[in-house]
Amino acid sequence: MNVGKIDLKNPLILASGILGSTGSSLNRIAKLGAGAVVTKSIGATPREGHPGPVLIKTDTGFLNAIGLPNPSYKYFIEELNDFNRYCPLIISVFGANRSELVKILKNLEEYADAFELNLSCPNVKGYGMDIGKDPIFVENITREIKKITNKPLWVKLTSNVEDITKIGVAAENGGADAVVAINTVKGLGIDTESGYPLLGNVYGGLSGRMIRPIGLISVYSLYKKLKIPIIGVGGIENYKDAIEYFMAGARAVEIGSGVYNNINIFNEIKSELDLYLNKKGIKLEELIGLAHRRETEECNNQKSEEREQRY
Amino acid sequence: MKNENKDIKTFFFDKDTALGSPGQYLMVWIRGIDEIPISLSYKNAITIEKIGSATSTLFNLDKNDSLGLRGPFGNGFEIIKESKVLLIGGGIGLAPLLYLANVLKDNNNDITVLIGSKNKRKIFFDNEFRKMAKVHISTEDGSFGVKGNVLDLLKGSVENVNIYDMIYACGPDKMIRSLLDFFNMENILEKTQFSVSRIIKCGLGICGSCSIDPKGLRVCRDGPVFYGTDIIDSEIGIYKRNHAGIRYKL
Ligand SMILES: Cc1cc2nc3c(=O)[nH]c(=O)nc-3n(C[C@H](O)[C@H](O)[C@H](O)COP(=O)(O)OP(=O)(O)OC[C@H]3O[C@@H](n4cnc5c(N)ncnc54)[C@H](O)[C@@H]3O)c2cc1C
Ligand SMILES: Cc1cc2nc3c(=O)[nH]c(=O)nc-3n(C[C@H](O)[C@H](O)[C@H](O)COP(=O)(O)O)c2cc1C
Ligand code: FES
Repeated sequence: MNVGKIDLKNPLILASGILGSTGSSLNRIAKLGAGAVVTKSIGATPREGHPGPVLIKTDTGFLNAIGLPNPSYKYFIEELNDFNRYCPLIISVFGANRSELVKILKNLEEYADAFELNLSCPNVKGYGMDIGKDPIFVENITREIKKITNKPLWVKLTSNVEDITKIGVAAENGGADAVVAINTVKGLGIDTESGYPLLGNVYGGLSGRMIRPIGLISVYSLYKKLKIPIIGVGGIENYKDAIEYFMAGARAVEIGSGVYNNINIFNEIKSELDLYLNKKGIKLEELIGLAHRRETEECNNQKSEEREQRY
Repeated sequence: MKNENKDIKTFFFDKDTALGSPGQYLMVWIRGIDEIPISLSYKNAITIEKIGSATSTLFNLDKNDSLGLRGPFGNGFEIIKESKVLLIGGGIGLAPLLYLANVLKDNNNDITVLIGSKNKRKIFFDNEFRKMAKVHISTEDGSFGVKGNVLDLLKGSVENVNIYDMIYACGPDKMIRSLLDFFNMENILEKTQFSVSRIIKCGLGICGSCSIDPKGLRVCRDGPVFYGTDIIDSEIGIYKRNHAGIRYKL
């Protein structure tokens, strides 16, 4: 299946930052059934990441401030050389400015089936979310990058904005081949024993089950405004969660925190999804955006006013 | 708290219940500094070697100070019963082996311990091990016991490694590599278990910082204890990655 200009083995993709720091780790997930894998976000210079704690398990998800540790594009090449191409490889990149991104993209281009531009990391000052919140900047940087590389470009969005569709439209206008939504949602935890914030970096991002409704509304809203494909991320743990995203309008999904419970999650969701489609006698294609078509049916039944009031 | 030597201290927690099984580790949060992985050295204690900022801060804690603890995490040692076992430890690698020896003793095993140390001053836990095992010691400078490393000690003090039903080891990468290669030659890798160390950030198996090549095994979750057969072809003892994920040769 072709999504955002690359051929995926299936619509279940490993999300950036989860077991994506080494070639052999990416190989492991690829062999466990991922339709494609996204690497850890790679920058221009090596970063050690934030002091610990960097990841806390909460009741229904995780709070993290890993701090984009990465070896820089230069040292990441040896990891990319270890990747066995078992499935397509999407390289996630971030940068503080255009010249950093040019360096990274030029050097990694030959290894990538596509790039994912991380404009949305909430935990690192000056890198992701600050720039990812400004539609004008997003449109410009997307256009610039499209000039630098011929590889497909996916732009990853943050939901920590007033209206995510404005950022999505900006990415589309800049020439993005797909948008990915969402990155983690801002959050905080405090140790009741001592009063210290739970994360070394204080500020963190939520992921996992608890953010699924936020991811879904983001994808749902983006679908109404965009022509380019949307890749849904956030809180997917089983095939029904994935189906919800398809029905909201996602052409593919990424799975991150869900790997915690089950490293074989890609194989399992894939076979359960096939079972579901067989039972219903439908194609995946028909699920995509289904909730919008149902909504329209409902509108035709003249219930739309009522619905807006409910909301 | 108990001083084991100049740079090594044991901290007992007030709880008397077991915080995990031998080979499992806790994520120890030194508030305001960092969070680091530390193995259990007793059912309710950890033993720390002072080497950097987090461990030095820990070292200076007072008796009643509190620490943040998460865990236990990881897969510990597989325990066998009523058998002949050999434990091999180098440096701070002895910490998880002491708890292991205690539990192996409870399971009526016949225990031999090999301790590798830089010099006489750095030897620790030898008296604790003597309470339940035969103990042999080597020092690199020859200031105590056999001069050399634990492999030399092993070859000198044990005639035939085949007499052991299980061999457990923990220590620096280089030591583990030399043992892996030796046990491989002796064809007994399936009877060996190693606790290995890599940079652990999340402890939950999702960030990827502790992955070892070529299988992408996660030290924090699939390990830290692995059978020799699982890691003989691995990067262990050859290279590692730092906090940024850059490889460096050992
Ligand atoms: C499973 C496991 C069990 C361990 N058990 C013990 C133990 O029982 N007693 C003990 O004293 N030490 C143990 N360690 C090592 C201990 O975690 C490090 O010594 C400690 O993190 C160093 O922190 P620092 O800030 O003092 O030093 P730093 O100056 O930050 O680092 C010094 C060196 O310690 C290692 N290190 C640093 N951070 C980490 C990390 N997050 N994870 C792993 N290694 C790191 C690196 O090799 C580094 O070069 C264990 C490590 C692992 C992986
Ligand atoms: C530990 C961790 C590290 C992450 N690192 C990155 C990263 O480097 N780049 C990025 O774009 N997103 C990163 N993310 C965000 C995920 O890719 C994903 O967007 C988010 O976690 C929501 O999906 P999930 O609920 O399936 O985890 C990270 C998330 C987690 C939990
Ligand atoms: S420390 Fe995060 S995966 Fe092992």
